[in-house]
Amino acid sequence: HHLPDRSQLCRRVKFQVDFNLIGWGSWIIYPKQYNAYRCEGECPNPVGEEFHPTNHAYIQSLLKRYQPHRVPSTCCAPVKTKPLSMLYVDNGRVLLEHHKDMIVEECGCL
Amino acid sequence: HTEPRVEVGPVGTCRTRRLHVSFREVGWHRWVIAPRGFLANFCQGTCALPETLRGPGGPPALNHAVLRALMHAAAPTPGAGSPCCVPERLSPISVLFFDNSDNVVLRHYEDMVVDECGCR
Repeated sequence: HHLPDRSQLCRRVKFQVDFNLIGWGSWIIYPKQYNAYRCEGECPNPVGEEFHPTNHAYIQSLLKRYQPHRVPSTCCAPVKTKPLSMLYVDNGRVLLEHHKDMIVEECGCL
Repeated sequence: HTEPRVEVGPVGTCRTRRLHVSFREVGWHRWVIAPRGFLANFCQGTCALPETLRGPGGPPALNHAVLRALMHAAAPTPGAGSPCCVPERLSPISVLFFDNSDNVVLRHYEDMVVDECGCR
């Protein structure tokens, strides 16, 4: 069983979100873009503690190791996120609000 | 423990799949006395638009996942795919087992059963 080299394993990478590009630029005043980060990479089977697996994720990864056809591998996903403050227009009013789960702080295998 | 609710939604979208795991299958049968297995379930399915946008029948999704799906639709980047279909809500099970000193222990294991999946 060949493990992908370290750089290909589940990790956090830069990811620029551009509100103009997705058509939200007309109502979001600030920021127009920001680094949201994202999770990328493979989850090994079995998955180690460094990937913050839940008990379920650990068992799924064991099962994937022994009976690969029965389940998918666990998936590299955010396990810790941060909010983003946004200035935007809503029904003619300018609002400043804190939107949760907008920035990835940590990735894991779930 | 009740069974997870059946998650409806378009075919192929992110949702809970039924999966019974025997402890023998993962090599834990030598130290787990009871139960012999449990309904663990797993998550599978796509997290593409429009399902990711918390529509009726769609899976719950992080704000980050929604933005990721929108960016992917607007400007696909090599390597940056759709968000992941992963457990959103999990339940515990009780396990009776032999510990390292061969004592019989009853323990509550958190996050063992998938009740609901979402896009993250």
